[in-house]
Amino acid sequence: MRATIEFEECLKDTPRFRQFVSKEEADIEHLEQKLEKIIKLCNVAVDSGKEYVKNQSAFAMSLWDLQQHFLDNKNAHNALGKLIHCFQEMNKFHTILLDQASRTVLKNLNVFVKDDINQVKDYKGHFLKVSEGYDNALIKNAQASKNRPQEVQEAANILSASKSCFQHTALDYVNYITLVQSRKVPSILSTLLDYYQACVTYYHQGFDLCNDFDEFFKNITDDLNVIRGDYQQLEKAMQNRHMSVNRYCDTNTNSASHKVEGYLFKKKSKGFKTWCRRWFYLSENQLVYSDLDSHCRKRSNEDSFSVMEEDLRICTVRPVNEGDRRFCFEVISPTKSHILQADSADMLSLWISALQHSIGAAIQHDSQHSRPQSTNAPNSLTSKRRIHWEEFLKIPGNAQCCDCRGQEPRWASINLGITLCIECSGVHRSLGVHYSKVRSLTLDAWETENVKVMMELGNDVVNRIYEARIEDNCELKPPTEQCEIGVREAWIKAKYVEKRFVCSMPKPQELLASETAEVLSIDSGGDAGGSGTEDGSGILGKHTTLSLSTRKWTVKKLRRRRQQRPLPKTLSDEPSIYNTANTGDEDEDDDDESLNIPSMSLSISGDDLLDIGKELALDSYVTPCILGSDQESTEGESDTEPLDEVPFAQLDANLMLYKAARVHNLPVMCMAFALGADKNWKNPQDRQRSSLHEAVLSGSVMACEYLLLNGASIDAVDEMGYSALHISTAKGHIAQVYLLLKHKAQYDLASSDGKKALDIAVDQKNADIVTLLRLTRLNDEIGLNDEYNGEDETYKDVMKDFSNFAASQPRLLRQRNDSNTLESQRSSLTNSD
Amino acid sequence: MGAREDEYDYLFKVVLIGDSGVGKSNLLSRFTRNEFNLESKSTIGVEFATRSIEVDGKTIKAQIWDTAGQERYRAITSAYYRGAVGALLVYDIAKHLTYENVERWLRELRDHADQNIVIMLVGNKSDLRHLRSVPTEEAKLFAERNGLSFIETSALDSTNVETAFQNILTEIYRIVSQKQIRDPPEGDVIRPSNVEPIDVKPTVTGDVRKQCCQ
Repeated sequence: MRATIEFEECLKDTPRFRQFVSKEEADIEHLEQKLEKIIKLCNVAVDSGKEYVKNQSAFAMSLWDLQQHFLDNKNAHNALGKLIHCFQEMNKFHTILLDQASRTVLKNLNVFVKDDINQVKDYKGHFLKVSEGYDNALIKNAQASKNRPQEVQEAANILSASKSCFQHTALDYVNYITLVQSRKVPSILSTLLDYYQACVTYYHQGFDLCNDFDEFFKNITDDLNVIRGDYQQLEKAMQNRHMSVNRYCDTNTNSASHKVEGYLFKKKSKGFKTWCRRWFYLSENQLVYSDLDSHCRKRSNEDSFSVMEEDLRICTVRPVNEGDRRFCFEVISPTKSHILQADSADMLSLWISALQHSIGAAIQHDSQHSRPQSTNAPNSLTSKRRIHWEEFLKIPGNAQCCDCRGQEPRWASINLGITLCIECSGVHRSLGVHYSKVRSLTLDAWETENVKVMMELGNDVVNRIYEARIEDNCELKPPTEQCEIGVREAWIKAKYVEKRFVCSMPKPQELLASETAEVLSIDSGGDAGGSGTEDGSGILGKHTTLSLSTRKWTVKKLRRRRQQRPLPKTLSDEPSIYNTANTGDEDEDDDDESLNIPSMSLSISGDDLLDIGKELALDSYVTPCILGSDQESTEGESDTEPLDEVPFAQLDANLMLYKAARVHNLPVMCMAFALGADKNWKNPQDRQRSSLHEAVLSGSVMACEYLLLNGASIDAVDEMGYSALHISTAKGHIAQVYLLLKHKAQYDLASSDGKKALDIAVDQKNADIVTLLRLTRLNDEIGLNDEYNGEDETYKDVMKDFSNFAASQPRLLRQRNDSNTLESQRSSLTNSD
Repeated sequence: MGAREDEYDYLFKVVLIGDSGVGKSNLLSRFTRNEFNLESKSTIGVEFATRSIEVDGKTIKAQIWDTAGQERYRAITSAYYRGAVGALLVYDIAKHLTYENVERWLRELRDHADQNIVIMLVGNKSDLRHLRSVPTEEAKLFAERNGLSFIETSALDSTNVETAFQNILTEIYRIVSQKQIRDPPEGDVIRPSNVEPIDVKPTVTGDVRKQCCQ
């Protein structure tokens, strides 16, 4: 217990009192300093604690992110979750502890310093002032003159008041000092005790938490030991793999398996001619490689795999000497050559033998079975396409050879639009390409336009024309699947070269004679004729009153491939565009009026109009999905255009071809050819235009192709000097321009007003056609100067791009060009400077 | 002309791209025919010209594709970039917008052209000093950042036109001839980035800078 000052000493203001006061003051001062230091350090500790908690919390958050990584491992995911939970709980406890620290230590001590100590200090000032006043009063009292009693009295009064005041103040001051001194121990200790309690709670909470999870984490530790064991085993196993590397190499090169895949260096054929390493493999007779290396970007509509060679059967493989490089070999197909490099001599021989084996196997396989379907070939960038040959057989009549009726023909004549067995195709070849151009359904890649022609015709349609009069020719035996070659040759020659079974062209007068059926149709019962004319010959009499001058004929538009839009159902007044006739009941107009002339397949609908070719393509077969339904360049044209009617007096094969070309009606064109139409005939009544001009005007690629296949002169000009290329350019038909250029149309031909196709394209501001024309010219210039590189790779690629674009997006192209011309007109108006 | 037209060691396809009216066609005519036409019309589709130059004793024939700058006169994009080994990306130093659009053209190149294509940024119409709106330094910095060589030209007064074509053809030649001699780097995986034109760039850009007129 501290010594306190006596009551009396305070009142007497003894030196001891003063000594006491100053000693106590120093003591309190000292205490204050210490406390302030404590508060400051405690603040620092709390602040750094808070910082720690914050970082700890960020650390836990980062663990959450890590947990996402283990989504696939449930155990790890769980364990991590629990651990993070623990850490976060601990963090929470820490936060509470810090909070307690600031609540207890900081707050209480602060209060003690601010209230109690400062009170003493404040009162010290007051005490000193009062003490000074008392001193002054004593001095005044002492100085008071005895001669002036009034002054003496006054001084005495003041002194007594001051003394009393001083005494009270001194007592108060001592009071305060004593109080502070006595309170400092309990308040400081209790504060620290509180903090201690907070710490106890903190650790206790932590202990409880750990207790709760103890079991769980013990299990994890056990699991970890198991995992560690597994890992060590795995590590050993992985190390053992190195041992098997050498063995593996040996077995790999020794196996003569034709299942080969692996990395090869591939030499680029264009551009920088760089070598790149790609993963190659053989799949379904194709040599395929992965584009994976070009990870940065992919060309549009290309898969990550490219087909290097579509059909190994037409390829050969041989080692090649390529500069300094070792282990090179070459894969050669009729059109391309690829240089590849293996990693070693062993791999080189392995690849070569594997490829040769695959080629052999593919050829053998083909002779036994059908070719594996490759319509899903990833390389969509070529204009040629592989079509499963069976798709061709879905075209009516095509399932049997057009000539001998042999099953499953594998060959075709692209200009006739028929399928053939291998024996008949041989005979066709011997006729010469001006009669028949033979292609393989299974081995050849097909140009889109040739497929279109095939789809428009087919064996049924063609035989209705070329075998219309079989019964008349008894001396020739129709060939059969097993017949001798001589029979076949004789038949095919008679059929296509001499055209002996084709019905002759009817004379207009005969057509109009009342008993026309006898003149035209040799035998109405012949099943080769139109089977859709069920109505008997009894109705023929109806036409006897028709006169030559009023009768007309026409050819209607035809497109047998399915459209995307549904077939119009309201076509009863415009029959047979869609060949729905053999459903029997839709063409009511025809039922009572059609003329039964099966051999010529002419039928007369109402209004004195003869619709030629109406029954040639009666079958409403479901189009095989050889081509996308939206690939027709003529797509979008209206089918309800007024028909071009021609008087009967002008019915002849040439005009028939001409008119049919205008409406891209290939069956009628075929008939016209059979009737001896001149492919290069020019219409004197229509600016000396040829059928090809008309086909171009029709906007149809297939009609052009059909004419070109059958030898139409590509550069024929009309009286204005316009060639087909001129006209297709003027019309902005890019697909036709491409087709004509592909068939080597002359692009430098000037019309009579001096215009070349390019001039027209520039006038029309058709960027695509301008590019096509200029590019072709450029390519020719290069070809002329460069004897060993006839056609530029880049040129071929670019042309392919155009043809794909034209084939796949005709509508887009048209819109582009439409908007181009519109815009150019607009800009020519505005940019008058 | 450096060599006879019909004999060459290398044939390089180079495309001229850039906004409409920046002077692509005049750059081409200046380089191939030494002609300039103040009133040339918009290019439709594409125009071609060739010229041969000599590098290291080899004859290099440049087949230059001058493409339409105006969107509505452009043919399908892929046609322009197929097989191109070099591109001159032209802007007009007096029209800032044509410079801003350089990024768009770069994107188109990245999407459609060979990734090794050598690209040179060309600020044309450097004769229009008083109308300049694209500072040389800015364009040079941009070119550096994007790994392009850079040059300013004037098709009108012929400044740097020859140099620009000479530089890009030389650069292509260096890359192509090196590729033919040198084996690609060893290693399990060959990345196309190994052969990026940037490797060769510094020497050429150095030349370009010296020859810049501004």
